[in-house]
Amino acid sequence: MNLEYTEDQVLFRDGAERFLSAEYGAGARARSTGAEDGVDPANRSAFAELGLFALTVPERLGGLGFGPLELAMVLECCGRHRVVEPIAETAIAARALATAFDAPAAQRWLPPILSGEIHATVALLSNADIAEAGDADIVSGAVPLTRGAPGAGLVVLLADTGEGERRAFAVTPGTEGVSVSAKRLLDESRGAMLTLERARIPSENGSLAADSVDQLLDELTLASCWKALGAMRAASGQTARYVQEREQFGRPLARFQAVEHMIAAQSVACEEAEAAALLAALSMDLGPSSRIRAVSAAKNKIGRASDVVAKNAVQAHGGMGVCDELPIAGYFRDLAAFRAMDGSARHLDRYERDVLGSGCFRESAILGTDAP
Amino acid sequence: MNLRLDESQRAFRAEVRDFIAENLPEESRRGQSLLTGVYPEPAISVPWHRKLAGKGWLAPMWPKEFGGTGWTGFERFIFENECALAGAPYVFPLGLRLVGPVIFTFGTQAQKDRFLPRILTDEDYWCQGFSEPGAGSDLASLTTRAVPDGDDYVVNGSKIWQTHAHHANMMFTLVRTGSGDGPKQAGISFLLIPLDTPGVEVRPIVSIGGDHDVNQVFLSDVRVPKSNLVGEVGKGWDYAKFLLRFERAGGFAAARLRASLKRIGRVLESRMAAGIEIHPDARRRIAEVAIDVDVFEMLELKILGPLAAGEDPGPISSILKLRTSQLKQDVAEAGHLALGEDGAIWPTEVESESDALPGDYLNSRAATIFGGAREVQLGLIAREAFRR
Repeated sequence: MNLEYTEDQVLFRDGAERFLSAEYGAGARARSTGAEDGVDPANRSAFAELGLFALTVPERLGGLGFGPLELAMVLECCGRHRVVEPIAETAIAARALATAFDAPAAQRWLPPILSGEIHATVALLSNADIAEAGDADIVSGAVPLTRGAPGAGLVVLLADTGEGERRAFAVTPGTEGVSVSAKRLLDESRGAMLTLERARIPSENGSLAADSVDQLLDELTLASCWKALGAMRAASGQTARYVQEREQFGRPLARFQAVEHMIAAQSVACEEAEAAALLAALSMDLGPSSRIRAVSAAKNKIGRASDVVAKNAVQAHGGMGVCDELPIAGYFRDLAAFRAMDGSARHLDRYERDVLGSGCFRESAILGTDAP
Repeated sequence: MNLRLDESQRAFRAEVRDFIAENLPEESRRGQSLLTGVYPEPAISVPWHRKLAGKGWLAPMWPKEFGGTGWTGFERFIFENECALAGAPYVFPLGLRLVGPVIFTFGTQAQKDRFLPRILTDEDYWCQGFSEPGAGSDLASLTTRAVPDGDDYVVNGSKIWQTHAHHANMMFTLVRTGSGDGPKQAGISFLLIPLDTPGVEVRPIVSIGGDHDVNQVFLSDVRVPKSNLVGEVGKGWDYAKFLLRFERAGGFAAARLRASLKRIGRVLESRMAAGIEIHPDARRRIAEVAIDVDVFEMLELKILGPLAAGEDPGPISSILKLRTSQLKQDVAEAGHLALGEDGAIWPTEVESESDALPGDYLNSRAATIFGGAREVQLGLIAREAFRR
């Protein structure tokens, strides 16, 4: 057991933080929110240059060879700076290519992602209908709301046939039979529902063990949890400062006990969210049951904790909290999107089934059953 | 950064498991499993206390020179998890976790030599004399007075909410020794009072759950040697704040919360085996509480794991205290929910684990009141946020 970040981890995280502080202001962000599909190509190139999309790709495929924790740490910075581009989605899509596809396919698709030429995303296609047809597969099914899908140069579909086996498909824009219904999300990023009707996908696709599909999806959830944590810390810090400056009834708001307790609730929520995020990140390599338990716990817990932070942040800012002028409203929307997306209810269901139902909630979450 | 046990940690865990399997008395395990109050009776905890003392494992939170174990924070975490999950009773913490650190940090050599070994050997069973009828959350307004007279102090006043004072032979107290000028936190001293001194009277208080855990203690012309005053005269408030940080963050509470969840798990199992359906709302609430305990386990490990034995955890202890107390209530409430309509029954005798759940639920309401009420903790947490 060791709870200290390595020097490399801190260096990389601090590099990302410095870049975002210096370069990712309101103007840079607006270039992406104003773009048709929510991603400004110059921003994307800058993120690629920083190495964000290569973070968790193995070195032999041109990546940096880090793991889910390092990606998560960068996402916390992204949450603080309200990064609107699909960083985690692209990084996990790259990782999926590296783990699920044969080397020629991975080597074909990875370079444009790692160079920032395209962005990518990863999505679950459940109850997929797959038929082989010569050098292609004919795939039908529906993909739920997926961030980063509009304009993506590549969507990695993790298809669940409902019979245990999982397949991965690389879908490119314009593939016949794929319709994309793009939406603007509360955090101003773009997402889309995908419908596949007898889509013809060249059979260069990968085949995966069911658990590696779940692992990839859990890595995405983990990244979104850390991004939410960054937004929570920022909103909470800004609120604590604001109530010390703002005076009403002749004294700072911070002097009112009701306000004090709102600030305290935010602090507690942030500490718990950080612990949940850390437990999930450090459980990724402890085996499937620890990972499932910790990721579902994190998604649920950070969902509840972010609600406490977001609502108190807006309330403590009074009228200014409900104006678009301050970042507080933005953080509120970011966290609302986080809670709505990525199966909050599904994670509580999964925890209830796999952790409560199996009885392993009676054991320590850290010293638990399948820790080596 | 990782949560994998290394080889020596795995060996340590196995050693602890073996020791517990061979030494945990069955009456102690059973007594703990039927617990409704905050702490088990001495008849349940003391036999286990003695086993641990015999092994040298009683005071992992003390520095080694005073009888600590020299374990790392991670080893303390493993040890407390193994003990709690095996159903070992909670060792009464008032001597070990509360007054012990004050004595080894601020006491004279003579006080260390006298009192620390007697905590370990169980010769002294301590209770805490802080609150008074007129001084609860506003502890500094206490009025019990100690007046110097020759080699003694003469103490008059009354203390309230003394857990297990009816079992204890020693009480650490805050008493007023100053003139009363200046801020009310000044002029308070930390005094150790033997309860067999003439003039001490202990009266029981029955709790919301029907148990006798706490008492009121009356002090009438009680003569206490001046050598029983810890540290400097008038500095008692500082020592009390130090002690409260240990009370709030002195151990791995998640392990004890987990043990309570485990009890609920066994009750659920026996109810289902008897064909009783668990309402989906109750299951969902239990799942959420289990998630909270998982997360709290990590939070505690993150904060306490890196600390050396006896090291002051600092202001973050308020967050741990707040969450420990709320989770104690949430877990107890989840247990009560698990009983469905049977939760309305108040068992006259606690003979099974499910009998213990209603009393546990009722008594758990005290958790956000003692040791600094929830509202006091929230104030401390907010002030810390404003400092950043």
